[in-house]
Amino acid sequence: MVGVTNEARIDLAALMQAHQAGVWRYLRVLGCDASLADDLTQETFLAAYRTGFEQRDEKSTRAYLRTVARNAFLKSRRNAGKVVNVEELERLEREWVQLAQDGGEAMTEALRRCLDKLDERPRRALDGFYGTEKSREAVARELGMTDDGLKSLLRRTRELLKECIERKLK
Amino acid sequence: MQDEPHILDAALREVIGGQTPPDLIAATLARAGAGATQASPQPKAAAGADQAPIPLRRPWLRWSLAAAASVALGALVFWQAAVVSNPDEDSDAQMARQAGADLGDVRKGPEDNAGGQFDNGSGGVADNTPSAGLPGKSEPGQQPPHDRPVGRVKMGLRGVESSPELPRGEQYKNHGTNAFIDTEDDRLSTFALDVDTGSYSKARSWLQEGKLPPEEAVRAEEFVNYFKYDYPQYFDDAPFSLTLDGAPSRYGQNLKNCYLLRVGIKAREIAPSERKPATLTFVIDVSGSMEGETRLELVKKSLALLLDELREGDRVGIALFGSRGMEYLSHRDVSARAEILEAISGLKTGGATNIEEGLKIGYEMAGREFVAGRINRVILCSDGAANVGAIGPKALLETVAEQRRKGITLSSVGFGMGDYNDHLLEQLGDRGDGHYAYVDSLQEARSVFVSNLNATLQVVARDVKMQLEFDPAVVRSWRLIGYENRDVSDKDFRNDAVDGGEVGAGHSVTALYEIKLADGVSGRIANVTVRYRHDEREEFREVSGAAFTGQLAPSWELASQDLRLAANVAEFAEILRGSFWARGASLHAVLEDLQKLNRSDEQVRELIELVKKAGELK
Repeated sequence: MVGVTNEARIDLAALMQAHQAGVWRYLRVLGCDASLADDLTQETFLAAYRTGFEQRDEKSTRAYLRTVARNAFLKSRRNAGKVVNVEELERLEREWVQLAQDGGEAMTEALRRCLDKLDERPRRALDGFYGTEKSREAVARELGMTDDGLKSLLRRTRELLKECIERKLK
Repeated sequence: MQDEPHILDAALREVIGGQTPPDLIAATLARAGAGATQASPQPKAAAGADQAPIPLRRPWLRWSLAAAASVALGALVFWQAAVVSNPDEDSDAQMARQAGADLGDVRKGPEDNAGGQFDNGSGGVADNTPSAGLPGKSEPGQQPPHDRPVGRVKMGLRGVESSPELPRGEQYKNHGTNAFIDTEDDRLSTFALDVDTGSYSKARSWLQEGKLPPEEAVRAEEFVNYFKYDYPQYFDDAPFSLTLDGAPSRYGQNLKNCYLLRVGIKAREIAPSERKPATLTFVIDVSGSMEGETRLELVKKSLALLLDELREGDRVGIALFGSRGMEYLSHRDVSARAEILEAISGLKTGGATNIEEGLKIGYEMAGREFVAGRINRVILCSDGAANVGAIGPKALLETVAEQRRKGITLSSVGFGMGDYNDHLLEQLGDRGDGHYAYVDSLQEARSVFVSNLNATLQVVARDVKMQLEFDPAVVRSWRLIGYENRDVSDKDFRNDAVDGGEVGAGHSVTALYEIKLADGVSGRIANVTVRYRHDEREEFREVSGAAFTGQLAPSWELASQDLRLAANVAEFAEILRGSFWARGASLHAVLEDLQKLNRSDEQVRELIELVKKAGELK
């Protein structure tokens, strides 16, 4: 495919409209920051239509885009000279497939509802850690906790949230 | 960053940090080829799986970074001891406990002494039926050092200075704040009614002294129930009426489809002449800590007011306690008013605070005078700062409960700032089937002992519990504002061994819920059932009603004045106690709405001044 016809452009736009959020979220799960996720999301879709990708069903389209996105991620890591923990990547991929088949929309909505159930303390810890750009150490200090204490609390809270989300998605 | 990435990290940054997926269509098309002429389809809102949404950056999802940063300010969060996991407890509810359990955190759990153990019992909702409170001398001696208070914490209000260091001896208990609950996880809300008002008057004292009250001292339901609401009075066979209404919520986070549901109970009024004759035993704290105009002197004035309201046939006796307890004035008819007043005027302070012995003697006196069919009430007047006695609070509460079973009830009236045990006094009043009030002025004394005397003395419904069953098709989630320490297991709603609250003649009790409705759905919000035992008879009865979306006012401005007042009071309490669900809330908004209400009574005027004061202190 050399030029991009209007028809192809529409297809690309439609494909992105349906799947860009999911691809972006997936890249963030793999470990991209927001800016890199923006770039790699575009790369993913560009790669897809440049290779003449043809959509079939939703599930296979998502799987295909995930593969392309993962490859884009691995390539960017290699180019940056960073080591990739493959086992970790596979774990995250499995969990993503388990929880976010639809691109993460249902998981995100379930997360919002699960967050509402949290007590104030873990919620404040999450707010401080995920709602600001501060380091964990800084957040721990401000909450009057040790770094290890906050780390434990965050770990426990994330697991509880995950269990809550799993129940909601069943 | 954390050592090991977690599947939810990105999702948490999206939901909490506002880092939502961007719309990259235009940029990608531009990279795909020059001269893009085809407009990309407009992004849609969230939809089903086949139409995967493209969520744009949604400002309303973003956390205020300023609010998030303010989380970090302030000191340690206080938590109660970890509660033993209840195997019947919903697993999502366990999540909230477990997140802090090993740090000794719990949102709420069985009280130290109150409430008892909950047995499994049947739950559910009753069929709807239309439906529509010396001359002697105390022992001289030194006052022992005050115990270090328990439960004293320094908690920061979000975005404001930390609340002040508690005066020595002030004791409160933090019962946490109710969270939102999804109806698909738990559709039942069950709690014991509460007519106490002590928390509001105590908070008032703090503000009038130019300080913010400690967060743990603020109980939202006691704030709301301090005020008078004009509930319609229609009773049929029940001793109270049930009112249900609501309006779009003006406060809270994420207001889309968010409403306030108000459940109001109004007990039947009685004329003073209809009140049963009373045998009152005053147990008065005359320990050294009760020295001062706002303590023993105020107790004396309060009793003088009360004597004027009692009638012939009522009997009064007085026990005192300092380091020891003693019978000070044996019971006599109130027609001996002069004699009683003379005895009261002679009271002096000194010694430690032996509540245990004071109550022991008071109950002995009350027991000798006990006559079935009369109001047999012990009224404890104290600052609660007990520091001597062989038994601890738990045994004290068991004594109060045992006497209650024999027909001698107890009300506690708190006096004083500093060396004040709010928690103990509240528990004593609740366990004693009386209630708890705090008197900080002669005006408040008039309210407790004059204006509301019938409500204070004459109980018309005992062991009152309420249960709401929300319809999951209409209500997505709900949150009860307040009543954290009045929670009852859903299964124990009809377990009569589990204590409820007492409602006096003319009392009104209000429960406010924040509810989030399903999109575009109308219908029944909840069935409401109130279970109670009539004061005269032992059998339990129930009053039921239902709340529908049609009962919700179409706008805040069209909501009833009373509902708006209750909501503003609740929001005031939520802000003062640093409630997570009032984060980013504004006292200015509360003040603005209060000033628009058509309420010119003294209580609301005073409230407005208190809100202003709180705003200045923040």
